Amino acid sequence: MLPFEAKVMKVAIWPEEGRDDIDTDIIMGAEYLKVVKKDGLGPHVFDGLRFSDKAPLYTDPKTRQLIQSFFLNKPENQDIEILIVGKNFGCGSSREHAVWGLMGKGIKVIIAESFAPIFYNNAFQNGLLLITLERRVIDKIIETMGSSKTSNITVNLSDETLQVNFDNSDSCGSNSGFYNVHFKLDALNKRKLLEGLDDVDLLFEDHQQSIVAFNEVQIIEYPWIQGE
Amino acid sequence: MALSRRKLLKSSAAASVAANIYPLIGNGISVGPETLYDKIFNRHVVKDLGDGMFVIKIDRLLLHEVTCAIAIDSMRKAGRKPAKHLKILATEDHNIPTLKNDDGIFVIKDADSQRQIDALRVNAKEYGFILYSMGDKKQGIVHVIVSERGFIYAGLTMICGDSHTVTSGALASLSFGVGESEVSIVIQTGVLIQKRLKNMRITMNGKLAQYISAKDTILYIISQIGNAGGSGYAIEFAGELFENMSIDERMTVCNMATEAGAKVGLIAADEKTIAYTKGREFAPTGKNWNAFEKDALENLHSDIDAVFDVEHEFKAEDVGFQLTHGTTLNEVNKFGDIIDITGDKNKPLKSYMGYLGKTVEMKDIPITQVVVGSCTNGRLSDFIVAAEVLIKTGLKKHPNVNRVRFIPGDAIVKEEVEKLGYDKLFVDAGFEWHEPGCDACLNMNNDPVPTDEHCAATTNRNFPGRQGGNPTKGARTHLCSPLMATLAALHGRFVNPLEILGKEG
Repeated sequence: MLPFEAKVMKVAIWPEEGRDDIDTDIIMGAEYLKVVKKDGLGPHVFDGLRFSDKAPLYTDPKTRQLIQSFFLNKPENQDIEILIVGKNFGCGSSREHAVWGLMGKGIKVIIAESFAPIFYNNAFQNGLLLITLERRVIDKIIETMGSSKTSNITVNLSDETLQVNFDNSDSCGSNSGFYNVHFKLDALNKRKLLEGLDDVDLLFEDHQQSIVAFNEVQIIEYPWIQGE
Repeated sequence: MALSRRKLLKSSAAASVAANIYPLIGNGISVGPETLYDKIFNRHVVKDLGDGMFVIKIDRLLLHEVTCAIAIDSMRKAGRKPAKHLKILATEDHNIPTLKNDDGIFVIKDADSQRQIDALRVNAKEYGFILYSMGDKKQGIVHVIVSERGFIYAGLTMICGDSHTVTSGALASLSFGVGESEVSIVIQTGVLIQKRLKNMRITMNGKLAQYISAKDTILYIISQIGNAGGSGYAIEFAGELFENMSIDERMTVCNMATEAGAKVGLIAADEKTIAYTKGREFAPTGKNWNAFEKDALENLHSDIDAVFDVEHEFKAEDVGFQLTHGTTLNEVNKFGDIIDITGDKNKPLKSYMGYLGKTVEMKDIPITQVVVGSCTNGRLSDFIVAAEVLIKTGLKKHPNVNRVRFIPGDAIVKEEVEKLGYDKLFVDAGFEWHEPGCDACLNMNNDPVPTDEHCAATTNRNFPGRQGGNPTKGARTHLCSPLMATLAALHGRFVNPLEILGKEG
């Protein structure tokens, strides 16, 4: 996968209603799991919320009937790369298709109060950055975005900081700036994203000998596991 | 490890690595009291990567048609074959029809589903792993066949591209769901990089009241700890209540640990765990069996002084006839509750579920669809419960109910139900008796529960649009036990089993 790029990214905030417990069925419905490749699922992420018609796999979104009131369909929320949600994002089914769809739509970062564990692992396998922040910090960011002309954040993965940019300039004068928010990330996940590393590559490069040695021991210590 | 055994190791590299393997497999050095999760985890640690991350060996890999074609393609592109010390078992379950056509043949109507099935069949042939296809007498839902075959047993680690892999924790195994990338990693390397989970124990003593089941128990637990209460934890279910449960019942409980956010759920090994596995197709035999049995009974439980990060204790008597009324697993209620649905936060729920007014009671909801089956409640014991209700009441499908689907968890369950003649009982009552598969749990095979109809389901998720329709307007799912679902089929609404079936002695 491609290494994570630190740059200014456009932000969209999920409206308060429905912000929590966004499950993977909502993110990627069962009918779109019938794929044999990862790409092409961007058109179907949040399909049931974005479109009022039902359409087969890979249908061009431009031909679909938009639900105008859904926040991701609003003009100001096109081409966003950061999504801000609430609690327990990605709960339910382990379908990694949810991650593929989000990334297919151009989303590179999700900021939430909490993530479901299986979704969390799936995201990092694909280079989707998940950032967990406390409720009050998310509220502050939402407040900033609310009054600002622009909604964008620069994510600095190496420093584990989000630079929240704002522009409250008006006819009286210029008033723009930023503040930094810190986040935590496991060292291994951070390295994977910065270097664009695959677990398979990691395991074959660094750990082959340990794996071979372990299996030799397991056969002796617990012969009923590999036996028969 | 005894010196003589160390000599058996083929390479000195292995011996020196063995000496350093955390926590010193067989070196006889105690690492202090361990929970069951820690024991199985520690036995499988290949390398400690620091920061709570470990490389762990995966003993078993389960595949179904939806979550492996891409993983296997990655392996193929890398020019690799499945890892040597990994056992693989595959089935067709999610995408498949559960009804044959008039000629007695399974017909897959959509090309995409057919393509996934074809890919799995081609891959099984090419890489030589066992696959049970539609119509095979061993085929079924992946989390039903795995224990049926004895492919999973106590002390093993297992993954599958499906969150309900946790079901097999009921056999004291460390089993959990992953996405397709991790399936790809495991099939190529036989290991996985994982963060060690924290430990939670849920203890319940006492006895369940009459007609109250394992399904009610796990729904009750989720109502107490919340749909993310187990997030970051391995949950061990302990105490008299679980000790008294059959393996089928333990599987129902562990199955839904994931609905509380817990990737891992397990129950300690005991005589039932051993008896369940003995003699099954892939179970250990001979000397290996004896060694397995001894180890499982002596070791595969938490040490008496093991420390859990979180402990909960609940009373069996507090579990009622548990149902769901909303669109997440936070909306669990007890039959008889007057459920408050006022306030802004309930507006989406009211709209989707079609509730009016300030409160809702489950007895007032018109049930027009019923689904009994799934990896949660699709086993023989579940269908026996349903049959006994029919035998005792002599009732048939209520005229207000449009459709009742009874879907066996696997072909063996189907056969056993039919041996008892219960399939005829179901059909005579106006129910449909299906072939095995996931079917209406998630409607991947496009036979949905109609939009706006209320469905009593023994499945595991009530998410909006899951059984049919879409997240803003779709099928209305109410999770429940097989007993409650069967009674709902006969009455067109949820009823109190005590009033219908009476109290016994």
